[in-house]
Amino acid sequence: MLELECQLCPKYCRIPEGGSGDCRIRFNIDGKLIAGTWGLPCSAHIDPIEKKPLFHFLPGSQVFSIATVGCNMHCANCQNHEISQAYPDEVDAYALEPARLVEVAARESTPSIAYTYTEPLAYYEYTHDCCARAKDAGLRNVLVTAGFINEKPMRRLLAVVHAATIDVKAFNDAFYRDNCQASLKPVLRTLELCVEMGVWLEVSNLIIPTMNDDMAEIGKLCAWFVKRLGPSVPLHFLRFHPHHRLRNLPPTPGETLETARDVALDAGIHHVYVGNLRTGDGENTFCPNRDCTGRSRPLIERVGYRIIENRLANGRCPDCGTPVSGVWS
Amino acid sequence: MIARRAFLRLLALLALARPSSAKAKPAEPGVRIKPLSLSALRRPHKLAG
Repeated sequence: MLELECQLCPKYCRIPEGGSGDCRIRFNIDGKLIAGTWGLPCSAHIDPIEKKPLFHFLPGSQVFSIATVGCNMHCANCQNHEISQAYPDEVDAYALEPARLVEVAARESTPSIAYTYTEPLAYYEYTHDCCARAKDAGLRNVLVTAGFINEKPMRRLLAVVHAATIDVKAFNDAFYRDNCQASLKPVLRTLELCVEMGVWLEVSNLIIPTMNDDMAEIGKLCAWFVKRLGPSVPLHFLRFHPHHRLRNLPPTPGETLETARDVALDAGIHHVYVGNLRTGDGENTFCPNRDCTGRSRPLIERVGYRIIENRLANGRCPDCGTPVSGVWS
Repeated sequence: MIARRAFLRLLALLALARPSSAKAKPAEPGVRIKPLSLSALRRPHKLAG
């Protein structure tokens, strides 16, 4: 009986022959590690890039979005648990190897491909091969991930990735352990790696009532964020809706999200958004220059995933000329 | 469980495994394949992210 150790993520699963890792998609077959969902996405959709959420990366564009089943985390609040917590033989899949994926994305005229919905780091080999093929074809690659992976494979993947949305579940290791069966530290390292390697990064944080809505803890996250990632990385606070094993909790109150946004702005983060909720300014992008005379008027005005107005001129504020961080074309 | 065992058997038969740092080939026979409808790609859906 040959047992294998998977070295992809910090769980270092020891997989018995015939079994799978904690992610349900990495198998030990005859002593070899098999990526069981390579070329087999269960989901494929064309979404607005704002849905990821990415607000500073090709705004208003469409993104070809795919996922296979499987995830190396098990969040009690997972919105896509029907596919993230499934085995490969439990959900129908498309036969979409990387060359075919790129061909379809190009034919649909989407400038980028997103690896999303579940955990693209769990279906790592497929994500990597698609990214490499897409990059060669002139398409951009977007990761939507929880960032729970070891540094070495992440560095290899980021070399072919253009942008990432990383969901920080909480600035609290106990939350990761109890709610997600993971840990915080590797996620923070992944965030730093994105900045170090020049991958456009936006961070999301789903605020769940009573579980991770402590403003002191959010303040600590923001302080770390400014110090280690810089003030120009956008931060999205997302509204929780009851899902999966957390159906007993109410949706996040709007005031909680607005308070968190104020905390982040006070900490010095330039671009702080509120998602899954219609708010006054929480979806709009403003000039980061506090002295800009036109600062009260949004540079990019959004309603949901739609752009109402984009006043950016070559990535700069048209009123004062200050550059706004992002990938605008 | 039967389906999962069958899936694993098919993966084994394909014997296309490589180490985790390398790519693996698809195991199409072990998974139910659905056709890709281009017209369905842009339809609204409920998945988050």
